[in-house]
Amino acid sequence: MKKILVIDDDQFFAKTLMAALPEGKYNLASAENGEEGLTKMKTSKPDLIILDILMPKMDGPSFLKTIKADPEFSAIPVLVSSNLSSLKKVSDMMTLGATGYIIKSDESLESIIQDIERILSQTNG
Amino acid sequence: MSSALVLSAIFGLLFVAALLAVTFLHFALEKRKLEIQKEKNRSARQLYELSILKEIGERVGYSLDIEEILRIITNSLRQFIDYTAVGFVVVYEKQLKLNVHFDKGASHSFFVDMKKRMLASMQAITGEDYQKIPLEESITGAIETESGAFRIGSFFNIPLVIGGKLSGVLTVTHEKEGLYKEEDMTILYKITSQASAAVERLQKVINREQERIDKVREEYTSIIVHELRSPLDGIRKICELVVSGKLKSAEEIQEYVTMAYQSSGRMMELINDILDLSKLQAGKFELNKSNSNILELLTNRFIFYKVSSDMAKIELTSVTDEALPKEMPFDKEAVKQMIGNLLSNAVKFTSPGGQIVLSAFVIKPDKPLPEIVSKINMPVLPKAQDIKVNTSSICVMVSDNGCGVSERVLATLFKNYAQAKSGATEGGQKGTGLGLSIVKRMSEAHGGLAGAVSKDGFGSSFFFTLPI
Repeated sequence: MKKILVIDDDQFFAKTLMAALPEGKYNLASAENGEEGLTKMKTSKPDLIILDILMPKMDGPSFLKTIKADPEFSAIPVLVSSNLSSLKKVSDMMTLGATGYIIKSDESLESIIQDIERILSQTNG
Repeated sequence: MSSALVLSAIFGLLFVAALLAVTFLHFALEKRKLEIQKEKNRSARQLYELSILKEIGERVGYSLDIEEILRIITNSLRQFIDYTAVGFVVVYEKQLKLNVHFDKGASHSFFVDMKKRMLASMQAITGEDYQKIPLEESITGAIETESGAFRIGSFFNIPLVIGGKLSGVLTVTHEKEGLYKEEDMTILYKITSQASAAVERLQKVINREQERIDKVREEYTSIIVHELRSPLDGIRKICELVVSGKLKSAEEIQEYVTMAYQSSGRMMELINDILDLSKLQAGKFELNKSNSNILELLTNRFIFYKVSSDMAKIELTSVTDEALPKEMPFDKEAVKQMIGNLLSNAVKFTSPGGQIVLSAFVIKPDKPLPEIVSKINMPVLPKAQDIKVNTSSICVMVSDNGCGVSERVLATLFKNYAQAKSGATEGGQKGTGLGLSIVKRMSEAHGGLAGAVSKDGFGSSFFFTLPI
């Protein structure tokens, strides 16, 4: 079962996504900020990270920088998901090594799930 | 006989010598007089130059109005230069403004010629045909008398260049020929170029400041949009989930609908904050003061936030001063909102297992904080110099052992635009900063103040005061 880690201070998003994902196919964990995300990654290494940008304590860019500098985690695909529609933020996150970017309010749950499945199938080879 | 001849010859020589000496002295004196006169003229010019530069400096200090600056220059020109007419043309985006003052009577053809020369001098610089641009004329002084001057004998133009662009021209004319010397032009040239340099500097500062404000406003807007979109998007996705039929049980559906309900509440709260703040900023916020019981209000808010702090596994306690007045005048709704904003922030920025203390006490000008403050068991508490009041006041404070903020961020926290930038996107803190702005403005509306002390990683105390 593929492990997905959702790092988003909007816990409703993680919960809603979990309910929408096909049953029994994914194992979904969630963290409220980058700091908590790092702790969770150390106990259970995810196959995909869904990362928000604006979060308290440790925000998306800091988290992304940290894991990209760590050889153990740097290969894990990161799908950035935020409600920020600033093009600057998008390109900043892509430069930092994000795999993809979704503006949450522009996508339905279904299309987010399609993105998730596409990224996970690509990384499988 | 011969001795008489010698004597007369000596006298004759002496006379010639004396004559020569007197003549020499006379010319030396005349020369000195001329030098003194020249020196006087020079210092008069210098004084004039200095005084007009000072005046320009003072006026430009608060004005970018080129017409105004040119008017100052032309008005004071009289002190050192004789002219029939002096005038200027200022170039605006879609029109020209011509301003001519006649010191002596002149005919209409004199004016027409002067205008033509001014426009031609500008065309000589930029190559543009200024005849085609609409022109607004303004003429003052002794104009168009039949006996006045008919033709221009002398004239000179000083272009006004600001930021590398021709902004206008200043022209001095006289009916007599061969009148203006290079030094007249030099002094005027010096003055106009200093004036344009001053305008240029001021414009640069203004442009830079405007860019900064635009940037901060843009960031602020994007944060607000983000904060509004998030709960709305949450509600939409929950609806999508419910409609998809993926939720199996009635309990599950209820759980998600509750989430949607909470999200809509968050959105409503934010919209109200935005509206309140824009009212406060526009000065349209009206206090509705009445004698109310502050302790009752504190208890009410304490109970309300106890629910959310319990849910977040944060311990919320309260400490109140016995000296609090039973009744005092304040806007109950506003203060209710202020306490709520501080408490909801504390809950947001404190981790599970953390603590929050709501306290209220009386403070007096130049007196130490009451003992009760030292009994609050929190890592970061204000000292007397952190809460400076002019009159006896009550202070409402929310202290936490949450994440705290750095000194740099703290300095900007109560400014809504700045906070959106430094707090939410730079330091990783989340929030619009609207809540604290509202607390600050509402306490100021009451004649009180708002402030905070914080230590990065240890916690914070946020407070506001209300005069008793």
